[in-house]
Amino acid sequence: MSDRRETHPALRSTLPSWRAAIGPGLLWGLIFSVSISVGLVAAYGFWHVLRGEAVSARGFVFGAAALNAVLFPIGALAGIMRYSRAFADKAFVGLGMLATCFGLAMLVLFFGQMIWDTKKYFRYTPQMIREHNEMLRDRVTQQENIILAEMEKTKAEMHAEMKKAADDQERAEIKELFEKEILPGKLSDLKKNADDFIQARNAGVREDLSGWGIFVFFLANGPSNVPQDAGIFPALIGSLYIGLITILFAVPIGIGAAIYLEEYKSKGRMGKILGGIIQININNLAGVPSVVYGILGGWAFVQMMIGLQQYAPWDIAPRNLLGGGLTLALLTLPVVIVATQEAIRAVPDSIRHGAYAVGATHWQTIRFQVLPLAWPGILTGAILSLSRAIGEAAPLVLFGALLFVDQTPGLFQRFTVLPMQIFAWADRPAVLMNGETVEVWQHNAAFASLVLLVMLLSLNAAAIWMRNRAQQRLKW
Amino acid sequence: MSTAVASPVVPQPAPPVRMNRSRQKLIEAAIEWVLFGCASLSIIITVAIAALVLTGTYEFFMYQDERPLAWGEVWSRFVQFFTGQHWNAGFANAEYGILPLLFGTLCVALIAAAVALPIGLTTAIYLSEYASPRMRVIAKPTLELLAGIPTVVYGFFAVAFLTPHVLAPVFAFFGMQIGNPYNQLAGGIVVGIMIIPMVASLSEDAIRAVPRSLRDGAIALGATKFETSLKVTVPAALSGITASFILAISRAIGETMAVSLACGDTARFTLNPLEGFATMTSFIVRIAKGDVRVGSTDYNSLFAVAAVLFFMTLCLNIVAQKVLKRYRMVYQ
Repeated sequence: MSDRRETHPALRSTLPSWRAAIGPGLLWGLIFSVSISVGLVAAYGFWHVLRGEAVSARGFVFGAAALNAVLFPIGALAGIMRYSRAFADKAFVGLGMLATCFGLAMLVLFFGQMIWDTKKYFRYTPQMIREHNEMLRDRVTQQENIILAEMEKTKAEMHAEMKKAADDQERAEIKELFEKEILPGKLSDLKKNADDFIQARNAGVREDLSGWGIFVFFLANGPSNVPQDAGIFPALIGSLYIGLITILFAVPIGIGAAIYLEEYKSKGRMGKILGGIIQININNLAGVPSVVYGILGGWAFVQMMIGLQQYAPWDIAPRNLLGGGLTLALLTLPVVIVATQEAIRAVPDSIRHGAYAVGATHWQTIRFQVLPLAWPGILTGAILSLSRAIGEAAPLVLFGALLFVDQTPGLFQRFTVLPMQIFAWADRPAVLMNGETVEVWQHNAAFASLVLLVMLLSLNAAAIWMRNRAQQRLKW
Repeated sequence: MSTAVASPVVPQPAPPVRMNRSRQKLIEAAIEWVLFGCASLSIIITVAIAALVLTGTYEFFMYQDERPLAWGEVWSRFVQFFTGQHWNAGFANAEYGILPLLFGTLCVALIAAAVALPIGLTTAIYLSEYASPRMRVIAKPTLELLAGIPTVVYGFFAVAFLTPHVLAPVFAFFGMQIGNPYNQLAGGIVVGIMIIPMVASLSEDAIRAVPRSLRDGAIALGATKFETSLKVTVPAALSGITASFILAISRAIGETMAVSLACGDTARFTLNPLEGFATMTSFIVRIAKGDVRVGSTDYNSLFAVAAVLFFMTLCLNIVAQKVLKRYRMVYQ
């Protein structure tokens, strides 16, 4: 880039060596780190004393030492950079590289951690399924044993009664009573119990313990109160619906708003003022915390659904998927508007003037000249808004999406989405397994996060790739 | 569409117009009104949010579980809200003083700023002044990917990895206790990582907008490249950089899922980052996911907190827009 300017070679050769700066630099760093850490720890101790809590000298020393361990390297580097121009010039290249790579490293760390925990999911889940299977089978066997024992006992009772009996007729009566009434009665009671267990066994026993089988089970099943049987199917479908609703509502309205702001608002004085207000408003709306949108959606769309119920022949849950999707559509509206505005602004005026010159009307110019050229940018904005909507959870907490939802979500039913599912799983307590505590729920959360991350990152990567391609191809 | 993209120099000709003029005019006007409707939806959203939040806040101050309060009680609740040191909504004899929640938010935002501002700004300077075009082509999209990760995953990262496997051992080494699994430090760090891309890309735009002549002048006067960047380019782009800082902090204040996972939702009046205490947003989540009766004071306190949050971020955003506008006027 022609914008960048290097240090002048003549200057570089005259700068003093950086070795002279080590001494004063280290001293400066020491003073910096000690003064800041002692000040901070003293302030912290003072705060506790003010509130009448106990403070210890040991905590003071260790706290200051910990802070120093962090601050001294920073201070020393800054000190040497302060005293040596040559060192500063060179060191900043490294620092900048480090800072830039920090983001990349975090991305790798994220993925590494998710993959690591997902691996653990695949390690512990077969074990838990096996134990669960065993438990289910054992329960049935035990019940069968109980039945057999009960039968034996009853028969023994019968024989005892028969021995006590006076004559053959009475004996026959007792036998009939036992065989016709008491035995079948007991048997059916016990059988009912056993049938429940058998049903639970038949439904609950999972034969497929392969990795692929577990993966498919996770994707195709709903929530459960045992970690190994819990899956993400309703959440996944809910997220897809949310994405669809966002595309259907936020993207057209956002594009319309952006076209108005870029192409129409400067017509007339009134339009200028109004357009200015709308523009400022959209910029501010982009910064409103997402959880606040939840308050809006949780009221407006819930009221709407309650109103709709009076006219609809089928059941409408007040806090349903459509309402949640519309809330997220409102949330992502500024993203679409800003991206579309930028794309439209990048189309040069000469194109518009050309269109006007051959007699096109205002709308024809926009429709047939401006929009086709701005299309890649608009699509990028749409994809970014889609990924934001799929990843966002905060507004939906106010929508009651946290609850156990064990059904394929429909447009007018209660729902959950992937981020909410992760949120629900992320801080459940660990489970004791064979003497070790295992964070089984967190492994579920990690697996679900990985699914979500792969979905979102591919969307984002597509958007970024498209924008870069558009930037390369569109040159005027 | 793609043909138009491929050959932008030769735009598609408009199809022949076979309508009379008045009908064409009518359609044009109709389209303009429809587009205006789309644009004004944003105003409706803003007004609706403000109205809802303020109505709930009004009910919070004026009623105690649907019983209208006397003026004296309203005044004392008002005073308690802004100066009280205890927030225990949801318990008997609830007290509603927002300071603990405000401190929680402040603590997270400060830590996030301490992480994100230096790293983001350094990245921005490096990318605009030092990096080769190839490096920039790789690094910028990667940073943007970081911005695309859902916040709940950041929170999960904090509660499942950062706190138990990084922070807890490190602090145990120094003989200090850190809240496990909830502490403000982990929350602040992940929120900081989350807002790095924002700081970096907005600051980079500002730095690149600085005219070349300023850099030329500094180099000509015998400054090194580092001195040019730090003492000429950055000050020249200061308003844009400041705006990016403010926007990033406003985002950190409004951050919800990561914070409520990483910091927990126990309100405490402290600033100690080693403990976990509720922020404004995590309190809202707690009330929303718990079974609090709609219309009770506990429920309405959600709106009061949301109002404070809304106006805090709104003010920050307005300031940032003002600052940004100034820098646009100087160089363009």
